[in-house]
This record gives sequence, C-alpha cells and structure tokens, in this order.
Amino acid sequence: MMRIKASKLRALVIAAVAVIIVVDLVSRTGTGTISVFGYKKIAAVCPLGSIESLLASKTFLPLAVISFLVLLAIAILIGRIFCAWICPIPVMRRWFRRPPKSEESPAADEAEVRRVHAHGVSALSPVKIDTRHWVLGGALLSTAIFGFPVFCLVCPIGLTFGTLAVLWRLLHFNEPSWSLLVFPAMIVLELTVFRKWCRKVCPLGALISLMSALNIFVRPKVDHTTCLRTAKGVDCQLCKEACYEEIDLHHADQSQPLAECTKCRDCSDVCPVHAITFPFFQKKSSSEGVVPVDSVHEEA
Amino acid sequence: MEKERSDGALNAGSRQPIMSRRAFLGAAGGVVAMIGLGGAAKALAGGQLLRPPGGQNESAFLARCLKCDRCRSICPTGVIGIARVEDGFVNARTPVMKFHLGECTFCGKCTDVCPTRALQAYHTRDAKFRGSTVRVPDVRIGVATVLTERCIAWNSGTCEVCSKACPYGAISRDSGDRPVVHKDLCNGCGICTYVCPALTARAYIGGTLRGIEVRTIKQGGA
Repeated sequence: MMRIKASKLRALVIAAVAVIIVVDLVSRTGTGTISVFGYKKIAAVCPLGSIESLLASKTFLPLAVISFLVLLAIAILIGRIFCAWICPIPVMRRWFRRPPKSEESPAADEAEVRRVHAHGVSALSPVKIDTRHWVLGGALLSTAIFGFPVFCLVCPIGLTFGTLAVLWRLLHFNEPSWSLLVFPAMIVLELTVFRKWCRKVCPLGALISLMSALNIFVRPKVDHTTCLRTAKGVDCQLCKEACYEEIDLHHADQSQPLAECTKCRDCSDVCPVHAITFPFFQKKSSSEGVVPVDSVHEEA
Repeated sequence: MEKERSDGALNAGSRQPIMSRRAFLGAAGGVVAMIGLGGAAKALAGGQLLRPPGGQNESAFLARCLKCDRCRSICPTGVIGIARVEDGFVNARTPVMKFHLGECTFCGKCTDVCPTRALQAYHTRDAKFRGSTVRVPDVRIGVATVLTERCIAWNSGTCEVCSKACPYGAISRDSGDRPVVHKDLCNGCGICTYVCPALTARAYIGGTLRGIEVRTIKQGGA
C-alpha cells in the first residue's frame, strides 16, 4: 500500500485548518483564526500574541496565561508541530522558492562517514540562538515600549487570514479596502526578501522551539543498523538535505538542536532504507517494503 | 578596537568569536526592525474608532487586541466589521462597529470570546421601555449625532424612523418634529443609524453617511 507523502499529508492538514477558519469567516461560529482559536471562553491563543498582550497591557490576563501554559505543555510533549502541520506559511513559502542551486557537497571522508555520534543530536544543547530569537526579543521589547502587539502588525499568518477576511467583506458587503492589496503585498514582500522566513526571521517559530526545548516525544529516531551511512558507510546525506530546519541527525556538532524539529517527516520520507522513524508513524513505515539498495547508490 | 568590532565580540581566551559578523548584523537588524516598526506604527496611528462594547479605552484595547476575528465572527447582528489599513496601520484588522450593517444589542458574546479582554466585560440590567424589555448596559459605544444637513426631517419633510426605533428613548422630536438626541440616554447602540432611510430616500445627497451617525465619545462631545 502506498503511504501518503508527508508533504502532501501536511498540505491536506493545513488546507483543512484553513477551511475551518474560512467557515468561521463566513458564518457566525466565532471559533476564530490561528491568532486565537477556540469555542466560547475556551481558547488557544497564539503564544507570541499572549506574551505581547501581557507586555503591552502590563496587566495579568488569566486566559492568555493559561493558554500559554497549556501550549507550553503541548510543546514539551509533542514539540514544534505547529510549524509544519498548522501554519500556512510553509506552503506559501514554496511558491516563492528560488530554483535550488546545485550545491556541491564537500568531499566525504570515509572515516568521517562511518563515525557515529554516540548520543546523536539529542546530546546537543537544546537552544541555539539565531536571528529569529533576536527578532523575537526585539518584537517583545518594542511591544513593551509602544504598548501594542508589534509583531502582529506584520505577522504573515495573521495577514493571510486578514486577507481572506477582507476579501469576504468585499464579496459579501461590497466593502472595498486597500487592505486587500496591502496585506498580500506585505506577505509577498516578506517571503521574497526573506526566502528563508521561517528559518531566519519568524519569532513565533523561535518561541515555539524555545518552548519545545524540553520536548520528549515524537522525535526522529535513526536505526543505525539499517542507515546507509552508519551501517554501510555510504555518504548518504538525503535526510540532512531534506531538513528545512538544518538538523543533521548524524552530526550533532553541525546540526540545529532537535527542538527545532517540526515533525514534518521529510527526513523519514526521503530515507531510502526507512531508517528514520517517528513515533505514531512507525508501523506504516516499517510495513512498507525496503527499497533495493542498488537504486539508492545512484542518488547518494 | 576596529578589528574587534568587525570580527564580532571575542570570547575571552578563545579563538572562537561569540558571534560572526553576519550573525551580528542579523541580530541587530532584527531588533532594530522591530523597534522601528513599533515606532512607525505608533507615529502613523489613526484616530479613535468605534469599538465593540467594552473596547472603549482605546489604548488598553490596542494593547490587548490580537486581531483574531472572533468577536466579528460571533456577532449575531453582524454589526462588527474589520478596520481597514486606511484607518491606521495599528488599527488594520481590529474590530470596528459598522452601524450600516446592524445594531448592537449588548448580548455580550463578543466580550465572552475575547481571550485577552481587549473587550472588557460589562454589566447590563433589564429595563421596561414602551412595553418591552431592553438591556441597558453600563458601557457606551458612542453617541448618536444627527447630521442635520442629511437628516430627512431636518430638511424636507417628516420622518420619525430613528426616534421610533430607539429602544432607550434617547431620541425625541423638537417643536419642528425633528429628531434630537439625548446624550445621557444614548449608549451608541446604533439602531438609529441602521434604520435611517436618508441615503435611500435622498439618493441625490451622495456620500455614505446617513442622517444620524454614532460618534465616539471623544468626537461626540458627550
């Protein structure tokens, strides 16, 4: 039986989320958007939005705090799944992708190839500070200074559903607005100037990966007895190349921390011998036949 | 000194810089961009808008609103709309009252679904008026203002649509049978604007304003 490709499955889930939000836009369900999603008084508030509203208002907002703590617990349990499975930006990011440059991989050293790091990536410090964290810090500082949630103004997730809402207002109430041009233009600008928006800029992703620093479940596991690199010494880099988050499951020292893993499953999908598994998906991947190694050698 | 800056700060006693120049530029750029964005948005902030009930403290409202769209979605009369970028960059996507589309019944659903209390909870009491029960809130969205140059009764004839529709008895008629708003009784529910026929009956006057419009408390001069 064919397994659905992870990228396709993700697109389906994201589309389903978008459909629920569009239903809310055109009806009176009041469930909301990704910024705040909920039913009546129970709501999941965007964790960055929660902190921003607390800092900007300088008041204790119980629902924002409770929601943040619940999302923190979820992040510790299952990690940064939001970024791959709910956020619409990774789907849109692909539309603005430059054609990949033919990157020359550095010549493989046979000994280096065979070297297996005893503890894998999990031994690495859970946080590596990069630009996103500075954007996060700047956004929070700015929010505290100026007294309103600053990142929300340019957040491409908010702008995406804002655009849909304005479009609906135009169609339903004939209510034209420059927003309909300005919002998508901002999204396009953000994703073209920063083609690696999610990796280099997004403070929400940075915050969620910080929250996932103690993530314990749903981590990719490499079966070193089948992995071409560790078992056969082949210089296979497919999983590393497939990872948008620049995680290298074989080189802890060159890898982003595992807290950055969005559980997108691209590494598991691309592995020719199905050596990488995620919990909950284990059965499916192992029930599938193993690809003959010959066909792999050409790629690797 | 110059060298140190270009290489990034150096770790004491190690050859590894804490931060590469590229990383430093990215970090500084990120922080500066966010501060600049906040400052620019603050500088270009639009005027006070008509907010849903409970959102009348504009600075507290803007500090808390996450533009999640829940209040607009749940509103049973559809009176809550979305502010446009023309209303100010900070206001874009925030909820505003559109009294041409409905009126506020103070049902409290919008404040219920607001998780950050941008719309703060308010109280209502039931009162009898003209034989029916009305909800009297302890908040005011704004104040209705008769636009005398557009109002039908003030110009060409008799019209008593707004004064008859007002559930709070806040609109009476003067000796010339023209509507007059009692600001102390008006809470800005907007039903007068919603029912005002000035735009349809007087198509030639142009524009989008009706004969009676709700203004914010600041603008309305209560």
